[in-house]
Amino acid sequence: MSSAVMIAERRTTRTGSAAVPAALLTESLWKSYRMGVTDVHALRGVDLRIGRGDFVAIMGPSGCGKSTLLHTLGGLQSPTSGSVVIEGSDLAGLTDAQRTELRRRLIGFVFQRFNLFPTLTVEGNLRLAERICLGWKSAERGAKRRLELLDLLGLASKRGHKPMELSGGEQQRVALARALIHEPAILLADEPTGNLDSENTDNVLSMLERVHEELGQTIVLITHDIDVAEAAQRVVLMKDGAILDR
Amino acid sequence: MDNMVFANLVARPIRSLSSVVGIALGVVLILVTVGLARGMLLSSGEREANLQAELVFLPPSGFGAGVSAVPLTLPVAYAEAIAELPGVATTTPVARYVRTGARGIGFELIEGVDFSGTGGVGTYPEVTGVAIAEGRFPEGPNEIVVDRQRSADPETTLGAKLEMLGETFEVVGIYEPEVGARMKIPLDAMQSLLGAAERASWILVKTDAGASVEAVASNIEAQFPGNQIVFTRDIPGMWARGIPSLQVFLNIVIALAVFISTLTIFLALYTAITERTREIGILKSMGGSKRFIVGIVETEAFVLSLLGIGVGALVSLGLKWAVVSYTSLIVQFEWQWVLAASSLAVLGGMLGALYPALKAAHQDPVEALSYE
Ligand SMILES: Nc1ncnc2c1ncn2[C@@H]1O[C@H](COP(=O)(O)OP(=O)(O)O)[C@@H](O)[C@H]1O
Ligand SMILES: [Mg+2]
Repeated sequence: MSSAVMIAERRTTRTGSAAVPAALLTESLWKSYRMGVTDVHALRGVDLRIGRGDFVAIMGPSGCGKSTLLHTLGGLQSPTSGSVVIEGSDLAGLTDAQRTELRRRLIGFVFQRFNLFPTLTVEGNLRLAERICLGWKSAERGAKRRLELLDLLGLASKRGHKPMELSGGEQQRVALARALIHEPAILLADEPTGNLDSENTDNVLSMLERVHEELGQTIVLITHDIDVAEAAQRVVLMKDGAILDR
Repeated sequence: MDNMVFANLVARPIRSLSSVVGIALGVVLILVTVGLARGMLLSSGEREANLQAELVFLPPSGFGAGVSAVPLTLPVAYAEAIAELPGVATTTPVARYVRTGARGIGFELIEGVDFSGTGGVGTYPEVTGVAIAEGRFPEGPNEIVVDRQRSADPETTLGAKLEMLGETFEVVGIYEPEVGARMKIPLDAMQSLLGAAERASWILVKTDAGASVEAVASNIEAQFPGNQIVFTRDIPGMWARGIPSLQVFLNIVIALAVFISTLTIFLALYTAITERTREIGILKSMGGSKRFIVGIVETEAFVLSLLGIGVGALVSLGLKWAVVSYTSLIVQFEWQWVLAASSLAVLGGMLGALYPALKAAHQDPVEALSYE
């Protein structure tokens, strides 16, 4: 832990913005996919610093590498080169199991396709997340948190419903509640409004803002929609696997 | 439904059901086969132990073959010779013949015994303590007596006529207690029907009240070397331990049952995890560890196995009832075998789930998330 923190701090000082400790930090991040004989470079040297409690939108056209960046930030995949530091831990120094553990503790994912478990109720989906993230022991704490979140996201009356019985906006709010059940430091959302109409988009975005205000999570929101990006405090533009503006 | 394992099982009822049936099949296979074999061995063993004679004198190629036909090779003259030895009270020769069982299923033992006491030796009733409960002992060659259990079958009840070795026999009596084969005809009738005059399968030896059975046994052995002397008290154990070739057969059945369980669960869960690739990606994105994912798949296999064991046990009980009601066979369920069949079903199921579980656990999360 301590050496990872030192590396992180050293990098922070060198980047020159050490005032707030970084929630997420990347340096010269490359990710290439081998496609037959050619390499597709999804990320071409991304340097990014996201402070604790920031609400950042990453915007760019389809195929520019946004999802790849988000998956890499959450430790779901390893970069081809470069480093990712999450809350002071350099992912490069961690085993697969340690990265999973880190994700369990610190990260909550929300996806464009909601990705709820179709056979489980709203309550069941949240319980499953509790079981993974908090284990059996913290059932009491989980139950309380679950009720608070369902209230906060306006889902209290939908607890016994299956995902198919909910609107897209409601499903995405359930996914949001699931991502927040273990109070992760960082919420990573990949086009969470991509499958929603404008009314539900507004609804989910206001929920994200509310979560940011009331729970103080660091939020990284990916979108190709400028209206959606406006919900964030800061917008990062991406093109062809690199960051245009920071 | 807020438990993932049960939700998964309920979501695919046909697949779950067929897995349960597969496991049940393995359990039934073990329980019924072993039950049949053990039933045969143990009840035969118990009946042999009811002999009041302390020793059995056999030809060299012995008794171990158990349920196979012991040909009539032993000269009856041994009975007289042994009866002369010190410590021996009396002896009687016994011939055993194996025929196809009731309704053509299994096999059945028939003994030829000496009811009338020819020669200088005792009669079968004298040596064994067998007595008539209903009717009478055979007085002619085409008469037969049966024990209580056998008489419950209309085909061999008191007064019934049955075909055997090309002759018609009439059931003239019911004897007690149960000893050896359930059906007994006169020894000379069996000898002439099998063309083995003056021969028997073995000789029962009753010792004098005060005599040491061990001493009598070793004396007989010394007098007639090369033959076998078996203590009656050891016989149940010999039957219970079974026959080596039967054990091999049972092992094959057990291996087959485990193979069926393993294959059923493997096929079911392999399809299941392919279908749920995305869900596995989601679990991983949520921080689900490899162990957690293996745990979910294995728990599913465990639950399927338990259900299969339940169904298999019920079906086995039903089959036992049917077998006992409609055939002359005996099915004996013993706890250690029920336990063994259950453990093997669980083992097979968990083993079958292992590869699907590990495959799921090692899936690349990003690829899994984009799986359609
Ligand atoms: N598994 C993969 N194999 C090959 N190429 C990939 C793979 N994943 C993404 N890519 C490529 O990397 C680039 C960036 O993809 P992605 O990060 O999904 O973009 P975005 O989310 O911005 O639409 C695209 O050109 C895409 O085709
Ligand atoms: Mg994308």
